[in-house]
Amino acid sequence: MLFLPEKSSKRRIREAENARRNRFEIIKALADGQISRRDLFKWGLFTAGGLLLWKHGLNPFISSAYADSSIPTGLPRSPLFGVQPFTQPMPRFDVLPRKPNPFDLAVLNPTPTKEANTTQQLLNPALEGVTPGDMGPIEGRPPGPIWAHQRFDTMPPQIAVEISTEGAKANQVYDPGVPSSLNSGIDSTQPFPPRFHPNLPDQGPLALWTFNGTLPPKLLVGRYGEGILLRHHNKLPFDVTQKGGFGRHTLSTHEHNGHHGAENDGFTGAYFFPGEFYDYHYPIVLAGINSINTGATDPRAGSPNGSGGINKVPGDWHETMSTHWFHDHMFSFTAQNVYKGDAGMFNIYSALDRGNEAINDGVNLRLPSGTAKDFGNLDYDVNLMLADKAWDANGQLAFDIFDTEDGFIADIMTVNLVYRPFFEVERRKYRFRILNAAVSRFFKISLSDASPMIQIANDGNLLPSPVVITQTDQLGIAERYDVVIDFSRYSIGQTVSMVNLLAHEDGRLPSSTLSLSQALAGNSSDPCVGKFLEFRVVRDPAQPDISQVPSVLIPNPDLSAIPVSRTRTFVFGDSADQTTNDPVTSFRGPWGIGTDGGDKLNADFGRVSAAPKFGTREIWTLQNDGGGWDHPIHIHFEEGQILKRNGSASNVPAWEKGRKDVYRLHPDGSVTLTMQFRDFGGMFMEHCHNTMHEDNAMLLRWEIDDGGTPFLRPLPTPIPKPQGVTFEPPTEVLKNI
Amino acid sequence: MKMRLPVGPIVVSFLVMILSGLVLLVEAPARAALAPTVALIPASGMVSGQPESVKFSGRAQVSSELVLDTSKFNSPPAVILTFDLSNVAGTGSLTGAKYAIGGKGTSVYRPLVGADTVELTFPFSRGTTMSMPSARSGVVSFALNFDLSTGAITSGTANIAAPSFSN
Repeated sequence: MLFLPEKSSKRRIREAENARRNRFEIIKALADGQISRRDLFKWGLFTAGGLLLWKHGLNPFISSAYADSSIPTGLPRSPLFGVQPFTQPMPRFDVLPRKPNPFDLAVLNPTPTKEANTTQQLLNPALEGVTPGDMGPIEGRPPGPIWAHQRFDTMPPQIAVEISTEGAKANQVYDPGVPSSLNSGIDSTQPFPPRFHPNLPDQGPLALWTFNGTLPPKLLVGRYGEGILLRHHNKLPFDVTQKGGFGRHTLSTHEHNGHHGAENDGFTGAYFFPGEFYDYHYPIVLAGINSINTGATDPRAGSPNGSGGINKVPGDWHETMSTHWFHDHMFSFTAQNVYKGDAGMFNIYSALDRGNEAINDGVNLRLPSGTAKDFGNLDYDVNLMLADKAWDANGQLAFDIFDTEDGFIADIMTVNLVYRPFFEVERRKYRFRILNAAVSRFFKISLSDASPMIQIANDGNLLPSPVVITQTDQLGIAERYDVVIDFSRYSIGQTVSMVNLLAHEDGRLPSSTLSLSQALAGNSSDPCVGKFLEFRVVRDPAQPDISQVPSVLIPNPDLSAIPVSRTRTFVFGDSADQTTNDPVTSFRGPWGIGTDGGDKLNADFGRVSAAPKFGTREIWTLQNDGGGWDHPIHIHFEEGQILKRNGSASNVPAWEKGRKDVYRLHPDGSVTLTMQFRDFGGMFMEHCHNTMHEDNAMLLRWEIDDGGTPFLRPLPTPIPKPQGVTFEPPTEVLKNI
Repeated sequence: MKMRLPVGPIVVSFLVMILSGLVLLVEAPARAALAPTVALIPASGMVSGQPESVKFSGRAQVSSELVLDTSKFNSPPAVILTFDLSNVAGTGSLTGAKYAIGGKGTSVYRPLVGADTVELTFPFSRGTTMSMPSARSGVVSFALNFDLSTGAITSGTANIAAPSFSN
């Protein structure tokens, strides 16, 4: 999507607004089920490849009927209602309450169960396919032993966290986890309105769907060895048409990139309906629990014990993870639902990365955080969620699902879901956990004075060694970069900003990397280029900064002694075919993935495309077969190590030498990686995290046979309905999987 | 004497060519990646500042990878430029101490034009490897000329200076 220049004529803006309204009507009719994608094909509005045809009054890229230039019509800029950047404080994330004893009825009612709780309830007849009197289960997790929580008996959850997804409302219980002085003066006792800025309109309950229905975005806090039972209630409207024009009221929550059983992974086809809940069980274990440090003797494989010590846990300490996020993964609606607000972050604490900079036990890395609590101090450890947004003339969140081919690019830069804020800092080191939560936009970040930053993690995994940088690499969608910034170099009263150097003209890939001086000049046609977060240095720290950034963080696991059982190649591109026609599991779109030399195929979550054997290690090569796109590929479940970029190990930069779960494929580029498949089984996914590409069929399912048997037993595919989840055999199992 | 045409080898060669082509057709992705070209660009300049100014000189390695879009969008050609300044050495003006440059592997995506100026910031510190606490930053401005058909860098220079951006 390209936005009109600010000085466009009124006629041009009116024409673009009409085009947007026309498209909105079609989106709404499509979402409401009044028309189908097949109708759009039939009417000639979509090509066979799923592209919006170049029709005037509909496609934003068609030339104006009145203009004589080839400039795309574009869309009108999101109105700012006179709001200026850097006039509001950036809110810290809202920390989710943690309750011990999940099996106590007073904590969770009903108590969690190993298999899905199929207690029946009367269904709301507004749900699709429901007639008055129909009954359905209270939990939307697929029933039976296949979707039972793995390791539930041996590693039962110890902490309960209860959340909902619902329409926007004021937050009455905001917990930033820090005092107001460390939250830029925000008074968390006051209701926090659902606005992107205090002077912008409230988002309506159909426009913005967030966790608990509120802002700021939510932060889940966990630690190794302390399992969490996340009960997620779907409180979205029962009527599928009540969505403010986009979004889907069915949900599947992916804990990105949890090392959990597949039943807790947020599988794209394991979605649940309004009125249901889904219990996700996150045991929070180190990978390798079956084979490495099984006696839990190594203190580096450990967890904060609450009183300054370490609880040792089994598994490989080299697999310690730190910065996750969780978001909706509803089949073919991920982009819409995440854009609508269904995204949070998850800090995982460990003996190595415990969020306490004072404990000096020889294990704790003492990264910037704080000292008051045993673990999880947020004083100087700050989550940043970056996302571009757009809104309509009424200031309500707007989206365009027709950008299937390229992706969706918006014109308003937000941090923690507010418009270009400021953040007050002390003269000391801070850790920032930066998440790219955009739909299709990449970022590249510098400080406005080009000062050095220290990158300590990528994709939530501490690097083997920190890397000093003055600008980050591209942040692909869903990637996390943890950086340390030392503000002691500034004087009180000074400001310095984070700057985005990457310009987009559409959602296919960045159009140009700008120099810092170009980005600061404010001349870019991309409104999201330039300063987006202003740091204000307000005081000296009350206590000396004793945090550290050690020269060694977490070395990679040594896989050299583990044989490679198999290699696979996945090709990501357009012009894909669809070989199946299941009305629920199969989807048609321009994008697809080719497996091991086969044709590129559109997504079908009923198709099994790969099946690594339990307990093995493989090498996968991911190939972008086009020069016109950048694909950030996410592989679920276990972290991988990049072995080569474009066929050479020397092309892997220092910041990609740790463990990763999102692999950016540059135009025509490839990434070769290795990963293991252990500890849990079930069905997982691999897909482009440009979620418009993902939703338009660039996704596949792969499985780990949980029994470790020599032959795959393809798992039945869940088919969710309000009356209960049924199962059907896989629609297709590719050869030689 | 009658000459015999070497029919057998020709046919075999022809078959091999056809089969090779078939194999290529089957195995090649839709479009193969274009191999990057590498250029060594002379780089020099001074970063003034405290505790001492640092003079840099050496050869920057710049890899250029041509990006062609043959899709219906037919975007103009672009290049991915990847920089390695590790062979550009710094010397302290007061102490004569050595300074090392970091940021190896920094890459930018630029529309392909005949002549482009690419400005890049980089970290550096005293010593032979990057040191975090004493890291400072500089800016290098590359003036690069490109072969428009291959994306290769045909010539260029690089000037190093202290950053002077407003906060």
